[in-house]
Amino acid sequence: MTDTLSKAILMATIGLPLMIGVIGLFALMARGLVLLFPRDGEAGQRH
Amino acid sequence: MYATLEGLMAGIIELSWHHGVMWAIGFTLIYLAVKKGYEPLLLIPIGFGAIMANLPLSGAVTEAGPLTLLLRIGVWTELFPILIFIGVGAMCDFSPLLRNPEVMLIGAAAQIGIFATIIAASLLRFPLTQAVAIGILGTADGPTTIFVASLYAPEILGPLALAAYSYMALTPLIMPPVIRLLTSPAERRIRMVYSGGPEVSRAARLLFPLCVVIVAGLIAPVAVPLVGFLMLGNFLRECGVAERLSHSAQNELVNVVTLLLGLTIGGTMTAETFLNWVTLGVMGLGLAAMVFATAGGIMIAKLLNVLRREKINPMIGAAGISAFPMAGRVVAKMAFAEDRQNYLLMHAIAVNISGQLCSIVAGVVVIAVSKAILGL
Repeated sequence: MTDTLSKAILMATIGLPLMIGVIGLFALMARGLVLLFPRDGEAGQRH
Repeated sequence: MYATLEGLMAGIIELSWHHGVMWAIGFTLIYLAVKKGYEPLLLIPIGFGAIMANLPLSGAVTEAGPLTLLLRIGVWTELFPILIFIGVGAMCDFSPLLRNPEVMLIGAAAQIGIFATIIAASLLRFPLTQAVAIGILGTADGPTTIFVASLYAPEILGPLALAAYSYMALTPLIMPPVIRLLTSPAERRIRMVYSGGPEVSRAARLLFPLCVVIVAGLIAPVAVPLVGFLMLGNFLRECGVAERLSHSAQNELVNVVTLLLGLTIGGTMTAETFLNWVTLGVMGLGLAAMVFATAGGIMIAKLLNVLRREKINPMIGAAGISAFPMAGRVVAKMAFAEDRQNYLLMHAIAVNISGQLCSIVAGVVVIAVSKAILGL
C-alpha cells in the first residue's frame, strides 16, 4: 500500500465519523433552538 | 516590411491543433449552455474564457493580463468562492432543516462520496493534495470545490470546476440509474406524509447561523470564511432588516462574482494545463464521486428504514447531494413516475437543503482533517 493511499484511508477513517458527528451536533443544535424558541417572543416556553 | 508582416501574423503562425481542441471544448460548453440550458451562468463565461486563453499569444493570460490578474486576486486568495457563499446563504431557507433536523443525517451520508473518491484518486496515484480536491467533487457543490481546489490543488482548478458544474447540470442523467440500481420498485413506491414539523420562530432562524459559525469555527478555524460568509448571507436573509443587502447578495453580488469566476476558470484552461491524462482522471473521478454520493444517501435511507417503524422512501437519500434543487426534483419526479399519487417533493427538497449545508460542513471537516492530521 502506498503512503498516499494509507493517508487517504486514515483521512476517511477519521474524517467520516468526525463529519457525521459535526452534522449530528448541528442537528441537535437545530432541534434545541426550535425547542428553546418555540414561537416568537416566547423564548423558553413550551407548547 | 517582412518583420512587420510576421509580427501581424504572429498569432496565426503560433496556431497549433491544441488550440483547435480547446476552442472546440469552449464552443461545446457554450453550446451546452445556450442550447441545452446546462448551467448557462457559469458555462458561458468558462467557455468564453477558455477560447480567449487559447488564442496564441493571447493578451488575456499574459503576466499582467486580465484573466491572470483575476486568478491572482479572486481565486488564489479564495475570494470569489467565498463571496459567492454570501449569496448562497442568502438564497438558503434552513427552515425545513430546523423543522426536521433528522434529514441532516441523510445529507451527511451523501457526503460519503467525498472519502470514497479521495481513496479512489489515491489508488489512481494522484498526489494527496489533488486527491483531496478531487474528493470534494462528491459534494456536488461548485463553490466548495473551488474553495478547496484553491487551497490544495490550484493546478487542476480548471478541470475540477468544469467537472463540478458539468456533473451538477447532468444530475438528472446521473442519478436515476443509480437510484434504480439500488432500490426496488416497492421501495420507490413508499409514500410519505408531509407533516411540516414544528413552527420555527424568528429567534431560532436568527440564532442558527450564528451558532453554526461559532461551532464550525471552533472545530476548523481555517474554514471560518467558508461557513462564516455562508451564514452571514443567511443571517441577512432572516434578520428582516437588511432586505437590500440580502437582495444584492442573492442577485448582483452572485451574478458579478459568478461571471468573473467563470471567466477566470476558463482562463486557466490553457491547452498546456488542460489536455492531459490528469483532466481525464478528474472528469472520471468526478462522475464516480457523484455516483458514490447518490449511493451513500440511498443506503443510509435504507438503513434508517431498518430502524424506523414509519418507513421513508429511500430515494430521498439521493437528494442529499448539494445540487439544489435538481437533486430534489429528480427524486420527486421519479417517485411520481412510479406512483401517480406519491408526492415526495417537500421531503426531497428538505433533504436537498440539508445536503447543501452538509456539503459545506464536509468541506470544513476535510480541510480540518487534512491540516491537523496529515499536515497538508
